[in-house]
Amino acid sequence: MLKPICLWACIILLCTGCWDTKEINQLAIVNLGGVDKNPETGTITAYYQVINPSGLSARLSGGQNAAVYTFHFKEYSLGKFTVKTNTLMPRQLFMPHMQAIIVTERYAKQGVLDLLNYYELSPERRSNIVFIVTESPLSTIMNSYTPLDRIPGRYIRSLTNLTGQGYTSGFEPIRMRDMIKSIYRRKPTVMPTIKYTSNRSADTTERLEEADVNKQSIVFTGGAVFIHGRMVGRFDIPTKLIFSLLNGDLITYVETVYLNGSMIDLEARDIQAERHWESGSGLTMKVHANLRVINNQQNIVMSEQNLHAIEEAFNKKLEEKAQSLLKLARQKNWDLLGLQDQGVEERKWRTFPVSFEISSSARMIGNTIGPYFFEKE
Amino acid sequence: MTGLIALFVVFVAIGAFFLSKDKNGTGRDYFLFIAITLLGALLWGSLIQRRPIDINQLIGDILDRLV
Amino acid sequence: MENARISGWQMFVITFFFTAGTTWIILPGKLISDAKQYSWLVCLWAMVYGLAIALLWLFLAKRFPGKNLIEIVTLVLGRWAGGLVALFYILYFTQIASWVTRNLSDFMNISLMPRTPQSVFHVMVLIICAYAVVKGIESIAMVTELLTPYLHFVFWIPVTWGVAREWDWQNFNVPFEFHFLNTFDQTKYLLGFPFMETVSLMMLFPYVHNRLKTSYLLGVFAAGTIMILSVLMPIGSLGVERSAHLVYPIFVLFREMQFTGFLEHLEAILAINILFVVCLKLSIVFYCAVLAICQLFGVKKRSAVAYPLIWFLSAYSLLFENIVMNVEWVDNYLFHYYALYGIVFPVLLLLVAWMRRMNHAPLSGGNRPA
Repeated sequence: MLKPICLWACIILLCTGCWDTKEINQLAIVNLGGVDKNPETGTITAYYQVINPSGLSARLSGGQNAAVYTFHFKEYSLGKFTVKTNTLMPRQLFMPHMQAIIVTERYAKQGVLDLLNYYELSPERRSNIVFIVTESPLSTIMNSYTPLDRIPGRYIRSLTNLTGQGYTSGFEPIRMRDMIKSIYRRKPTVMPTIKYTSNRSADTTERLEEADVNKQSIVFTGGAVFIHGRMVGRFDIPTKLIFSLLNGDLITYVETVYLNGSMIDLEARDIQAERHWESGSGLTMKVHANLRVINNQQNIVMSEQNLHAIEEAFNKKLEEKAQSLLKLARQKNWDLLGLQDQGVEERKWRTFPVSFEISSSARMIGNTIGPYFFEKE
Repeated sequence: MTGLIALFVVFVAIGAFFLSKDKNGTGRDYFLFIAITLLGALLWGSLIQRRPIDINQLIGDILDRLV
Repeated sequence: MENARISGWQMFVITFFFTAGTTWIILPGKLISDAKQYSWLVCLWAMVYGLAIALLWLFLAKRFPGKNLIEIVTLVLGRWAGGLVALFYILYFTQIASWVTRNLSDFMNISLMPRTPQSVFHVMVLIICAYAVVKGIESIAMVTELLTPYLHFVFWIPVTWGVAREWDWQNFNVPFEFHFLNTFDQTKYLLGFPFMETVSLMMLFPYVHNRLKTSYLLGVFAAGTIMILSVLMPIGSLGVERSAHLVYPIFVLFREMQFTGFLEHLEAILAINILFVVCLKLSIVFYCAVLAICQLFGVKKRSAVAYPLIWFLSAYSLLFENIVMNVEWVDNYLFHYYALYGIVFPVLLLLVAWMRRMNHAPLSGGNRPA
C-alpha cells in the first residue's frame, strides 16, 4: 500500500509546470491593451490595463478602489515590451486574458501588419481579441474608468457581445483574427472606431460617482476600413451595417421608413443575402428579410394592403442604401462587395453590373393592430 | 559532462541491481542493457559537446547521393 | 515473445491512433500551405495509397502466419542478411519513436509552455511510455480502448459546434492553380508519414486473434478520414491563408472557439487530448522497437531494453535543432527514406520468399539457414 502512495507523491511533484509555472498572485492580468506608433520616429507606445484584484473585491466594503491600473511603455520594437514591463510593473505580464486591443488612427493608417504578425507568432498572445481604432488620443481612452463594468476591457467586450447578437455567427467579425483571415482578400475588413466624449480622461474613481455617463465616456462611432491591414478610410454606423448585411454577416437591424408622411420603424430579421452570378448580365444580389413593426405612427388602421405598402417602402429604402454603398465602393475604389475575391477581374470590377432584388415579408406587428389617432378636422 | 557520466553510472548500477534480482536473467540482458545505455549516453555526450552525431543529416546526405 | 491477445476492435483503435496519432495535429498547416484548398484531395489519395500498401503488408503477413516482421525477415533472409535488415527496422522504429517525442515537445513548447526545456518533456513522456511497454501490449491496447470514447467526445463536440458557427465557403475560393503532378510531388511526405509508418504494426499482427485484415484496413481508413476532416476544418473556419501560416491550425481553432461568451479557452482540453494521443502512438511504436530488439537478440526481459532506450530516444529527439529543420527534412527525404521500409524491404522479402519457394521445399517449416 505504501509503495503506490509514494509513487503517486513523486509523480505529483512532476505536475508543477516546470519552468512555465505561473503563480496567480504574481501575474499582471492585462484586460485591455492599446498601441500607438509615431509615424515620424517609429516609436511604439504600448498601454496595458492591468486588473487589480483587491480593487475588485473591495467593491462592497466601503470606498471605491481602482479596479484597473494603466501602465504604458515606449520602445522601438514590439518584441521588447514583455521585458520592458519589468522596469515598472512588479508582476509578470500575462496577456491571454486580454479582451480588446485599441490602436490609434495614425497607426492604423500606417498599416498594422507588424502588430498582426507579432500577435500571431506569440504563444502568449491571442488574436481573437476585439480590434478597435480610436479617434481620440489613446492616453485619454486608456486612462479612463468606465461605469457599470468597472473593468474597461470587459465594458468593451460586453458592448460588442450585445451588438454581436445581430450577426450570423453570434459575433461581429471585428476580432483581430477576422482581419488576419482576410488579409490577402480584396474585400476590405471593417473594424469599429471609438472616441471619447470629453477631452479630459476620467482617470480617478471619483468619476464613478457621477450620474451623467455621456459626459466622459467611450462611444462607438463607426467603422474603419482596412485593406491588406492598412486603414484607408472610415464609415458611419449605418453604412457599416449595410456593408455587413450585403456580405451576409448581419441578420438583424432596424430601419426607418416613411409612409403617408408618417414614420415607421421596422426591425428586419433573419436577413438572407444571396448572390446569383449570371454570365453576361453580372451579379444579382437577392436579399430577403422578415419584418417586425416596432414603431408605427401612421394615421390609419393596419391592413394587409398597408403592410404590403410597408414592405414595399422597406425594399425601396434598402435598395437605395445598397446602391449608395455600391456607388461609394466604386468611387473610393474599395471592393466592398468582394467582387474580385469571387473572380471578377481587377480592371473590370468597378464597371461590373450589380443589381439588387430586395424582398421582405411583414411578420409581426406588435401589441396593437393600429395606432391611436385623431381624425384631423 | 560530469553530470552525464555520473547519471550514466548511477543508471547502470541501479539497472544491474534490478537485473541481478531476476533469477532467470541471462548475460545477454546485461549486455543489451549496458550497450543501449552506452549508445544513448554517447549521443547525449555528442550533443553536450555541440558536435552531434546527426543521424538524420547522415540519412539526408546518403539519400542526396542516391536519388 | 509475450503471450498476448488483441481483439479485432483493439487492433482497429491501435491502428487508428497510431496512424492519426501525431499527423492530425502537425500536418494540416503544412499540407494547406502546399496544396491550399485542395489539401483534402491530397489526404484522399494518400489514404488510398495507405490502404493499397497495407494490403501488400497483409499479403506478406498472410504468407507467414503467426510471425511478426522481425521473424519474417530473419526467416526469409537468414541470420546475417536478415539480421541486418532487422537492425534497419529497429533503427526505423526508434527513429519514429524519437520523432514522435520531438513532435510532442515542439507542440508543448510552441503553444503552451515556451520556457520549459524540451528534454524535460522528452524524458517524462518516455519514462511513462517505457513503463507501458514493460507492462505489455495488452495493457497498451486496453488503455487505447479505454481512452477512445473520451478522446472522441471532447474533440468532436466542441469542434463541430465551433466550426459550424464559423464555416465560410468563401474560404475555398482562393486563387490557386492545381497541378496534379506538382502537388503530388510537393506533398509526397504524406504518403510516408503516416501511411508508411503503419508497417510497424506488422510487429503486432501475430497477437491479433480475429479479423486482423478488416481491423487493420479500417483503422487506416478511419485515420485517413480524420486527416481529411482535419484539413477541411481549419480551411473552413480559419481560411486557407491563415491555416497555411500557422504551425498548429487545429490548436488555434480550439483556442479561438467561443461559446456564448463564458465558455472559452478550450485549448487546454485539446492539449491534454493531444498528449494522450501522442503518448498512445509513442507507446505503440516504442513497444515495436523494444519487441524487435528483444526478438533479434533473444532477450526475454523487456525492461532490460525499454528503460535504457530512453537514453537513446531522448538524445535522438534533440538532433533536429528546431521545427523548421524538422519540416525541411520531412519535405526532402522522408518519402524516400520511408519507402525503403514500406516498399523496398517488403517487396524484397516477397521476392526472396517466392524464389526460395521455387528452390526449396515449404518455407514455413522452421529456421532454415540461408
